[in-house]
Amino acid sequence: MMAGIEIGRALRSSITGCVVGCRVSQLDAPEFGGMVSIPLDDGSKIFGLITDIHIDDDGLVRQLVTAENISSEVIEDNRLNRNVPVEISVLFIGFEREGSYSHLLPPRPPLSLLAIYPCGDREIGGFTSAGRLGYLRHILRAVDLPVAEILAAHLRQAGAIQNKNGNGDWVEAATRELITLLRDDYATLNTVLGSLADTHLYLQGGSND
Amino acid sequence: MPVDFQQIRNQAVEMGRQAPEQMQRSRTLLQNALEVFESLGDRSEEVRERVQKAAAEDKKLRCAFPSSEPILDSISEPDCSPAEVTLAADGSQINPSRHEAADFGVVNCGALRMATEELPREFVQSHLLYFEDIEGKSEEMIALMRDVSERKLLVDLAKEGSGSAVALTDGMLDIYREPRQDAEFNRRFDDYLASLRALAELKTIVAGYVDKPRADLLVRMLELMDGTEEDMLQRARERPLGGVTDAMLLHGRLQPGMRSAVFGIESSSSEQFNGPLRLHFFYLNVGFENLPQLARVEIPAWVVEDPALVDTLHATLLFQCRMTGSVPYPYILHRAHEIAVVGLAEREQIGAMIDIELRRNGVDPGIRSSKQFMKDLAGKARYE
Repeated sequence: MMAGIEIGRALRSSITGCVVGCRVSQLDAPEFGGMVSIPLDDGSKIFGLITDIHIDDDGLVRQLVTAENISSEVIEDNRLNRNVPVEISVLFIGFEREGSYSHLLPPRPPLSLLAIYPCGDREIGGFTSAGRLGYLRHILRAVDLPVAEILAAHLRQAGAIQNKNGNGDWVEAATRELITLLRDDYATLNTVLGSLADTHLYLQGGSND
Repeated sequence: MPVDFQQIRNQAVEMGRQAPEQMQRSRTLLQNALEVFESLGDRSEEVRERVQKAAAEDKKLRCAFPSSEPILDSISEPDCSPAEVTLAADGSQINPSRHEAADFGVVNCGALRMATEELPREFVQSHLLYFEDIEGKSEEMIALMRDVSERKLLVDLAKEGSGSAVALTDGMLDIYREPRQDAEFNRRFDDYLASLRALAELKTIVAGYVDKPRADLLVRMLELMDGTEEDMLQRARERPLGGVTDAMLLHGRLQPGMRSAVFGIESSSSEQFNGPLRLHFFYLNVGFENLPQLARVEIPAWVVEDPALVDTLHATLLFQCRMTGSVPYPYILHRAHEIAVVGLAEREQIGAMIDIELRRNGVDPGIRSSKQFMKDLAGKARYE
């Protein structure tokens, strides 16, 4: 069962991630660092984190910003009628097959136009508590991405759910795992810990379902 | 092989060398034209009579004549609000090509409806043309079919609403296409006129918007007036003010937001565009302080007869042009174009769709001509 409304469909993909196209009207649901799932035809699911939300301009938009006042009709027309390209980048962190979670990369990438959904509490709780947080390595490997910010956003989302599930030490365990994984990269570790400190991980709650 | 830039460069140098002389000549002619124009201030009736006489003798004459508004009037932006509903339609076509595998054409019309505090709505009507639709049809005829479709779409949309409405198309309302004596042309032209009549019955203010106009309808009128009545037709042929455009004439007279007086168009198509559809025009400065930008706006007589409608159109066009910021052009017209335009990729997709359907029915769709095959290797063009 899907946790929420579809947020877009895959445009292009690889084993490590994909780019999702969505309409501006769908842009309320996805959040940076949020966990998403892509159900495949064989019943399995690929999980990923949103690492970027990209809104392109075009010639008309560039021209319209020079107007003194932009009417609400023009704004709505451009957001809802025109093909304003909104692209969401997703980094894959694992998959689910026959009810069990894996923190390995998916065996094959999702095909184009497959729908993407935000994960609900049950999926996030299940995926992040399975195994030994091995999926964090996929995030740390993405050197071109704002790794510290992605981790902070993810730990904030998953930590709240784990906390609600009575797994109050999950954030601490994840932080310890990150320190272990980054023990040879002091600069990145410092940035990650700085980001985590900024998110006040131990003070929040909430639900995705 | 690319352009020989060395050859072009030599010619560009020569062009640049001649430009100051051309500009000086143009300025002199413009000065003459302005003097004649300013002398016509209170002679509207005399000008109308002379144009009528000239048109009676020269059926090909195409020039302006004064309306009830004083010739030299410059009218400021009206206080009224823009129309409650603004519509615009534009069309695009794929012309049949004997070089392609399957013979087909497409007329694609796009429209946008904008109304106060409503989400603008897009409309598309796509017509595949095949077999007898395209047999013996020239590109001109396909273009006429497109023009008719645009107006019919506007009629359909105008039927929807109530309140003041403006319907815009890009370019002139008049149709300049050949052949004009063809039975099918006449039938389709009648359809075109019927759409304009339907819009009139719906009280939808219809206008053709000509950006960067090069027309010289006023200048031709001045040529008739710059001398005696006896030799006016000779002047009309010799074009003593040739090269001066109406926009040049009005450039310094219209402040931003101002329009010129409305003028009628005397032309060979006046017989078709008669009565309430008789074509008129005014110039509108949609530009900015020290940066005038004139557009020519064609409207039918029934709009001219009600000054409140002209005011509403005036206000609507300025409102639309301001939406696009530093490059004033009616936003809605650009959007209609965007919706209507058919790209090369779409053409290829339609071709593939037809190919499949023909094969499914046991018909060989044929092959592209060798010439087309070779051209497709070289590059791509857009069908707009």
